[in-house]
Amino acid sequence: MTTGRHVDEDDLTLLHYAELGDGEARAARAHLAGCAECRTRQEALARILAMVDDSDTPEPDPRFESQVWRRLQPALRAASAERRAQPTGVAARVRGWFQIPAPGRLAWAGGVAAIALAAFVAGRFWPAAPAGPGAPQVQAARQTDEAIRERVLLSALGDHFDRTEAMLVELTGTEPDARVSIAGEQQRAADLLAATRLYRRAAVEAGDAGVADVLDVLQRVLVEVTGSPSELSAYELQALQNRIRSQELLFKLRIASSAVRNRETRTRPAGHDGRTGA
Amino acid sequence: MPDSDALAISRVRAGDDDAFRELVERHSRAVFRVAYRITGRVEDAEDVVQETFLKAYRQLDRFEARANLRTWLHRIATNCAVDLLRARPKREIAEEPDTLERAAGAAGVAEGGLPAPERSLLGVQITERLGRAMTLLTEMERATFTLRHFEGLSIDEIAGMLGLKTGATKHSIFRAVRKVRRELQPFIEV
Repeated sequence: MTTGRHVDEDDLTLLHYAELGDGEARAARAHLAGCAECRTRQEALARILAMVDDSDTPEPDPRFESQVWRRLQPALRAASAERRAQPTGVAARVRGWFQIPAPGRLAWAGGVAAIALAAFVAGRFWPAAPAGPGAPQVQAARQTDEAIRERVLLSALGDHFDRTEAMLVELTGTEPDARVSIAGEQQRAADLLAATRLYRRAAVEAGDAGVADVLDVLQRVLVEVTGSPSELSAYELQALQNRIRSQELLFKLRIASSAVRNRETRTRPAGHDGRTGA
Repeated sequence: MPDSDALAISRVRAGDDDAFRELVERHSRAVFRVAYRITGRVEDAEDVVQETFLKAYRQLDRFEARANLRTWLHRIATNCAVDLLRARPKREIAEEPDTLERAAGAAGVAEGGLPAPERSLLGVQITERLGRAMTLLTEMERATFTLRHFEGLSIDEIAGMLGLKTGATKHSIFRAVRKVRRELQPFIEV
């Protein structure tokens, strides 16, 4: 004999997760005790959720924690400096560039990626920044915050393209001779990969499809380089080199770097043609 | 919160950045798991881990000593992961990823008694369906379902964490469960 109305799917879900109120849970259990149809549905739901439950997440590399720490350090150093800086200091100003994105401009400052990117860029440019709020450079910077912010980011991205290109040129230029160690390139690729992901995300958020596409290809290649054995046979190295060449990545990087540098140049005030202090 | 977390936090606040390394080493793997279940991609989960700890470091002064560091980190990770999913182009979401594709163990429920080759094939099919089901979830459904199902948080806690109303959170979980059920239903009829 059944008690009360059938238990609907949503209440079965709540019952499964022990989220049904006491009274409702009692009523549902009483009904289930006498209703084979609802019990069958309850058991089916439990079996389905058990399938999901049995699914596993991939276990990260045993060195995962130390890798996270190593990749965090540049950004943490910048963030640490910010924490210790005066509110009117350079850190606050650099942070401010990212907190107030200029409408219509390169919107790299948006969202989560900007926080990491800001720290990354702040870390790179910190040593060259002026020391105090009264410095003339600070006054000048205040007048051109938007242009500086854009220029700094473009400069950092251009440098990133250049460093990546240099690493890939070395890798593709290595003679496939007996067994070759690419451990050095892998270390550089791992560092570049972390930054590439952040830049790519920022580009996607900014809707810059061209830059995002190049970074996407770059990311895949860097993943392959870091995931390869650190010692390759001549055949394996040649295969890796061919895959890099087949993506035309070096060409794309040069074009992207050139485009970014041109954009950076256009953001400079008239009469300034020096590089931002990278 | 474990004393060791509290001690490390106070050391970081006092300027000892090395103490932050202890927190990274203690919690990064669990943060990765949350991030992976929401994003469905190893590389995205790794990014979320980086962002989570960077944000945590920057906001450590706002962290209340009585709160649970693990919960706080998971909240940051969840928000980062949801932001990431929102920013991901739709075509990427549609193609989807290695989500749960590694979940070969998921075959365990319906497969009992089948010979090994059939069991293996069924496991692959279930894994594929499960992966597909997860791609059908919106970012919010994925986040709420992950937090309820895998993390064991209550609906009220999830609502607070994601800034949603309790009713909206509940319905988001209902929708997620329905989508998963629809995909996996054939396998419990085997």
